[in-house]
Amino acid sequence: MASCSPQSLSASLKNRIEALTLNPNGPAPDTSTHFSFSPVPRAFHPLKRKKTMRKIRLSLLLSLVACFATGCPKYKPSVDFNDQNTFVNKVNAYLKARQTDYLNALARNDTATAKTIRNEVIELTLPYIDDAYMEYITSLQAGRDRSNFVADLIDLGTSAAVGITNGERSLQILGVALTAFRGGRRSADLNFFKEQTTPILISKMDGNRARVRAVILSREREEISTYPIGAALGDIVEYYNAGTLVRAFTELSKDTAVQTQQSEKRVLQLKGIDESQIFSIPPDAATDANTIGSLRNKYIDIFRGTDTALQNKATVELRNIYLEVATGARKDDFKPVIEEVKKDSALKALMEKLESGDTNKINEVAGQDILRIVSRILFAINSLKKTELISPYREIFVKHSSS
Amino acid sequence: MEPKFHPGNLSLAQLRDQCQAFQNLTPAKLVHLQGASIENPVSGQTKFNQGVYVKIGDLDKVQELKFVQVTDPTKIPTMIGDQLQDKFLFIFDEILFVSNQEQRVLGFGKA
Repeated sequence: MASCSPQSLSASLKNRIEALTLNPNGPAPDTSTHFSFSPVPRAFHPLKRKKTMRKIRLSLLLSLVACFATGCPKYKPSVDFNDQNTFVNKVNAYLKARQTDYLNALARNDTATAKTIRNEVIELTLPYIDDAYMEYITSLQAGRDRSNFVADLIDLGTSAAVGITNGERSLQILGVALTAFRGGRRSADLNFFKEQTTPILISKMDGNRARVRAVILSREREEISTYPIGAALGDIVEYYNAGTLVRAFTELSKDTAVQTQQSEKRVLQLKGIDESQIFSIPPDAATDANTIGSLRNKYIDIFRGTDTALQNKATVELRNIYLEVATGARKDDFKPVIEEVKKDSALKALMEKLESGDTNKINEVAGQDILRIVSRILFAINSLKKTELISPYREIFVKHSSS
Repeated sequence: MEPKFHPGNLSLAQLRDQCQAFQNLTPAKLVHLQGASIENPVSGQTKFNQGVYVKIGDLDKVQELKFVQVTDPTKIPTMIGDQLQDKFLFIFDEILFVSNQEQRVLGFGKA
């Protein structure tokens, strides 16, 4: 386990920050491997030569495929190192400031504060990366130039693939991209390429990011002795790298390689878990909760839309749902839940207007606010573990909802 | 949010319903799901599925989940493509406990 003295942490963090944060002079050395194909062989043993050559050719082809698949795209979210307003510089400035706070907390032996700072660093940095990623995938989707994608290149792609593969495995390795070539050639409709391949690459990046995010979320619970800020920064960079095309291709290759091997995937091996971490409700309650969830989603759609008549109708329905819960036959059952929601003073004021019986006051409460209230009731049923109320709440929801 | 554990003795449809219900009742968004074997039994059970969720806002839509069993790994790219056509985005590709048996499953979500 790494030492946690302020001095050693300071030195290691300094190195770590320099290595991991995005350097104005270019990518840091230990992250560069994430962004480039470097198939140069270290040893040219005769037995390895054939494999190495195959890897080189495969890498070249994958690079070519990536180029066609995305209109010669950037391979990672855009980063302008010279612009002081870019997310990189903002992130770096923030990290430097918080690093000082973190070390000061450690010097005071205040590990709780250090842990809080570490988690804040994570949670406040990731949105910057998310923003850059969203911009990146939007341009990736929109920026492909299909007009340059001519049939000759499709032929080149497929014949090169046959040269590499010696059979079925090549098709598996090249996976989706090669399928896209063939689909395009067969139908002469390159929409196939547009509609399938880029979403799959983006989806892969989404999946990679979700996996790293899950690890980060899980590790945030650890103490700083086992998850110091340096490791957190490493995970932040890993999260960034997970949203790059190169990583998407690498992971796609792994997916297809799995086809010829046993899966490397395993279940987690854990010592124990707290009983409070288990979520299990009766199947009927789950079905009822999901019915309410679907109706709630529809109301959200209505209020996000522009159809005023529909919004007015939804407002009346939601008002009736609330009034039946708060003042109807089962009001006593729902009382603890209503009281829980009323702990929010802003909502309490709105709920009292709805319960007043005064039409003018009732009409002052907007539909979206009532939707928030009935949503909070559902969440409170869960937080108070009043699972027995899910079914009656579903009945009330369905009774008043016309959608 | 703290990870949540769903029992490993459920069918795939029941597991999906439990994850969906947790999303609806919290509200939250599932970002990862993986089988977990617990050394020290809880309520006599050692097989669970660990769900990782992130909190969402009161007025955010809850994603609709779809879990698909993988019977032929060579079809995974096609399976992902098929789901994308229905606007279901890929969430995870993991080994889960389904009816107490290990099973490779793809998870998708549609906002």
